[in-house]
Amino acid sequence: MSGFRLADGGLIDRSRPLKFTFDGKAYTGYAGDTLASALLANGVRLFGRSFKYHRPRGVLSAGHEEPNALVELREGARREPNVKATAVELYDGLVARSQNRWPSLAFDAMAVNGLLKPIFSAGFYYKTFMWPASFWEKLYEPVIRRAAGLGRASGVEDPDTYERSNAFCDVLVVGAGPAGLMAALTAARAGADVILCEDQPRVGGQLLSDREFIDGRPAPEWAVSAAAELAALPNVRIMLRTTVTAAFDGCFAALERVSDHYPEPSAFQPRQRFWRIVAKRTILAAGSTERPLAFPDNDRPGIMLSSAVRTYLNRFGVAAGRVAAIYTSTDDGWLTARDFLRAGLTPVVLVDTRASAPAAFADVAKAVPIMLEGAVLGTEGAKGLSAIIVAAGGAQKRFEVDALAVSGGFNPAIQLASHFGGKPSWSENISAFLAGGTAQGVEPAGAAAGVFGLAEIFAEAAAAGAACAAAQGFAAPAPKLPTVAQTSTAGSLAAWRPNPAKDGKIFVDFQHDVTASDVVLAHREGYRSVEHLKRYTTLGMATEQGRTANISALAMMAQLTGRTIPETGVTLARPPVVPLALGAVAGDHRRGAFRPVRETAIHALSSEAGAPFVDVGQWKRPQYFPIPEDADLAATAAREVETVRTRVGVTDVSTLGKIEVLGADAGVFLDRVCATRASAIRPGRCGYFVMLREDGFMMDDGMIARFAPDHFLVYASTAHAASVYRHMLFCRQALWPELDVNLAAVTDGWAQFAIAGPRSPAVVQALVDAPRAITRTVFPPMSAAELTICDGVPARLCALSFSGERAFEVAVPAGYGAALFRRILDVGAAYGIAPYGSEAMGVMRIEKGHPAGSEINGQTTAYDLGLARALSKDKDHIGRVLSARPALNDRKRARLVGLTPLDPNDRLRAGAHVVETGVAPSAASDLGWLSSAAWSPTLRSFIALGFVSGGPDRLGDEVRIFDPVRGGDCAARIVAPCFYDPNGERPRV
Amino acid sequence: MSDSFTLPGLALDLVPHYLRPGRSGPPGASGVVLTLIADEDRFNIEARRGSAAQLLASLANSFGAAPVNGPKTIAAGGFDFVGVGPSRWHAISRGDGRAERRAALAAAALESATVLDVSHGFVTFQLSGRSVVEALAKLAPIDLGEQGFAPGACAMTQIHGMSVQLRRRLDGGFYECAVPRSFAGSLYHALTDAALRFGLTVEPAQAVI
Repeated sequence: MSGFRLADGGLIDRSRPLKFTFDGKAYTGYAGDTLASALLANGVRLFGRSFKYHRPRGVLSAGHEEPNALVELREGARREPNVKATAVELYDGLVARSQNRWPSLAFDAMAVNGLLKPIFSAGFYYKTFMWPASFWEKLYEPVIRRAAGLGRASGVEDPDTYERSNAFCDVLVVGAGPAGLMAALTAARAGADVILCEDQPRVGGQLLSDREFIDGRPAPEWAVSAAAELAALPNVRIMLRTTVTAAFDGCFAALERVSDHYPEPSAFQPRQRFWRIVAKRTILAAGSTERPLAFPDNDRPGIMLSSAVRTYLNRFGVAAGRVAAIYTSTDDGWLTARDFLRAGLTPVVLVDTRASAPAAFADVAKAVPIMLEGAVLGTEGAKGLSAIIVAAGGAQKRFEVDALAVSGGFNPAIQLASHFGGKPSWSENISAFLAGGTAQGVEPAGAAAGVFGLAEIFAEAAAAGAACAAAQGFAAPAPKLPTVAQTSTAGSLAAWRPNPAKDGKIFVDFQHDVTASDVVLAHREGYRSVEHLKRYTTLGMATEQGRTANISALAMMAQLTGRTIPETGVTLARPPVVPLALGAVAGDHRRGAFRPVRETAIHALSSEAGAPFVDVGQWKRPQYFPIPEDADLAATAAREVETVRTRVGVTDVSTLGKIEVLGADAGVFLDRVCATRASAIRPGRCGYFVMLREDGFMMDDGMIARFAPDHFLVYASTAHAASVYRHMLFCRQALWPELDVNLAAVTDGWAQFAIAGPRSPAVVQALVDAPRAITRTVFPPMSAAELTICDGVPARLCALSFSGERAFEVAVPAGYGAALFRRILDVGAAYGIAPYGSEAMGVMRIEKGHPAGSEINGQTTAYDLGLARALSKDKDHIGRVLSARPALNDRKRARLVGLTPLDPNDRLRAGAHVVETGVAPSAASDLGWLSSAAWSPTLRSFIALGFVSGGPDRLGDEVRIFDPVRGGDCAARIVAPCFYDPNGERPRV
Repeated sequence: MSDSFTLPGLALDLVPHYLRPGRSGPPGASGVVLTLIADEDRFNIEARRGSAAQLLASLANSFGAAPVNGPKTIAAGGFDFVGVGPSRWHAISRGDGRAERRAALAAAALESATVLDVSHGFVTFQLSGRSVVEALAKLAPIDLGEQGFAPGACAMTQIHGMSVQLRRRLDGGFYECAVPRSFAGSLYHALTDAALRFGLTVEPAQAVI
């Protein structure tokens, strides 16, 4: 034996040695090893330090339930903390380091924490380090966080990619152990589409760990042949290295570790793939987790779960130690003893808490010293186990051992069933919780169903597979069940009794250093509910989620309270079953693909012109069109505004929502949806609309063009386009399905440009096809027409002004948008045209006092916005009744006004508070807020729109604009919201 | 809209800025071929209140077959009628002779439906190749298996948060993702990212009608 590696045996490939390092030291393992098995094989027993007390820790398990052997895996940007060495597939070049120790794993100065255990008991942070209070954030918390914890994140961006994918099947089988394989075979042979997910790189589950024989051959061989049969079926997908991590309504989430067994992913391959699996029926065959036993100093390296000892022995060819003992309350310990004997390693003692030896293990009882009704009273060792003290029959004995296999029973892996909220039910038969009824078509099978005998597993799993297939209409013939030797793992909970002298060293939750004394303390202080126990002690809140801890703690609390375990209760498992990288959940949704964006037809043109973009919802809108002569972007905006005010400008308004309303009842429909009377708009004209929510608050405002008696086009604001359309659809489908009206959102189909400024008629005239005339009399403001432009391109033209100047909005099918924008600039050049962005548009709308998204924010009413006079009084419409509530029409409400600083250069910012002058700013003196603000190049002053209590009644009053966050404080005057051309004469010129 | 060979006075934007024709991904034959379907006719047909039966009868009379309610494709009269909602279809037409088909559709639906030309409202990506289902499965949360998504099947679904009309053409080997035009760049990137590891060929837009 080299290290702890046996000379032969195991399922590793001894012809493929793999080199790796741990804490900088080079080791060699074999293909098929885990990091834990390879380190054990090299004689390494010390893997890490515990969370709080920095106690030396080794390997407890051989799977995801591992609480101790956490390491940092890989280096640089790929460094990943808190990885369980027991779940890491060994690869050539693997680099791992121990974590949570200083200066080294062997000598950890922080182990002094163990001496301070009375201070660091459960809930210590509620009781200690309370004075002086200011020290907590500055000193205590940073020091405690540094002293206690896990590994280090890399601190840089993850260089790998992750994928998400979707899969569908009739039957999902979770786990490819004996139950999973049998169930999958049965369902697949019947013809059902089957997905078989297996966490490990090979199928077999517990069959790989035990020396079972199936149909006269070693169990792993049977597993391979079963997998081969499944793989040959076209209706089966076997997914190895894939853990089903969560169950949700209608689907499961699974993590496929595509490249975790390589130093880095190969080209074009993701590191991990996150699956969403939709299954009509599911068989939960995820096995079970063995429980340790509670005894003093039960956490020393070398103390290992009995089934894990067998896994290392039979699957990896590694002995847990040179001299071993067994401490068990189940038959599993006896199985381990038998396998030790077969490997030529005779345990020095087998201690069973029960009164009699199981009859099926007479061979073991004959070969190994047995101590019945025994207990381990304590252990010895510095950085690993060196001896155990055992009591039985009134006598105590000391055994020098370096390995102790412990078995306290098995917890069926029912986490996925719990995700559906089903309360687990206690089984006295196996002293463990089972899934509480079948949830959402999930059928536990095998050890996950509390069935441990191999023959029973095969029989019940086959029945489950047949039932699931039959539920989908696939008749399954009765399968021929494999022939196996009957085994048993019956057992009972080991008794624990409070012992103040010892409880502080009986570890219940290894990963969070929760001891029996912490459970006693929680009980003494009243935290007896399992939910309180969990949160007060942090029991089960570490990365292994209490798999090895919870039942022991529940048993203790049950004894302390004089209740049964089911009376004590159990916490439900929450997703995920195993830790997940957030990158896997995000998948491709990262960087530029984090969320979709919407581009207008001139996106590329705007980009080429150097325009920066601003996000408006999902839209990317060009914000400015800078030219070299502009000193800065403020100058750009000022130039663009001046261009529109004096000559002509063009801007992209394609993002406005466009909703076609068609049908004989289109006018009736809009009259009901809108607070204004849309039906009064004549064909060929536009009209203003206000839309209210049912509660009377503003939903949106905008324009409606009517092209025909039964054809309206609603222009909703960019910000509210989706919600307005959704609202209209609801009204049409649910409120008034009898109306003959159809709706269609056509925003994306049209590129639309506003051509604004005193010279805009000439530019538009140059675009439209003859004989259309664009004059004040023929096509006055608020006109609307469907026509052709640019030699036959279909278009829609509306004489609408948002800027306050004579203006038009021209729309063409979006595919022509870029060409039209270029054409407008070409024909407009003679009139001094310039493109303008959303910033200049925003400035001009503030100058005109038009409310926009900052004002129509879901909290304001038409009355607040000064739009009440636009509402139709002689018809019913959505929001009419509730908008008349007295509270919504109180003159003291914060209502829309304009504000100008007394000094035009005093900067106003949206978000600043409006307070009374001469009064200290406070909540009591707060009058309102600024909703939109800008520098007005037209007025040569900062201006703002805002909401001021009783605002329209206070025009001319002086107020204080207080902006403590950004250091603003100035005097301003309340004015009417329209700063520019209040009589609206300019659009009519 | 106009047939591609009779463009009016403004040029159609047939080559969007995001399109990057060429071969990418691991060497070997491309598992996915992406083609931008430029310049197709697409009409949104919605039956007027109580007129669905009349509409279907009229379409059957004019084109030899009527669309069906449900997410399926019926080919008739040079159109693919794709069910996109209750009593609502997209009629898709490509290639020559579209002007005549357009007129025939308008006439057939005149009394019983609203017909909107939404050709410019959508951008359609065609996907084909041996790995196309695997690539799409990364994006679309629907069953794309032979039974779940047979030739002619259609789904109004979502890809990366975008509303996408995903359909399998009647010839079986081609899938199409139609997305509102403003999202086309984002969908293009989602599709090409998903297809990259299978080997991807993006065809030049000029190559298709």
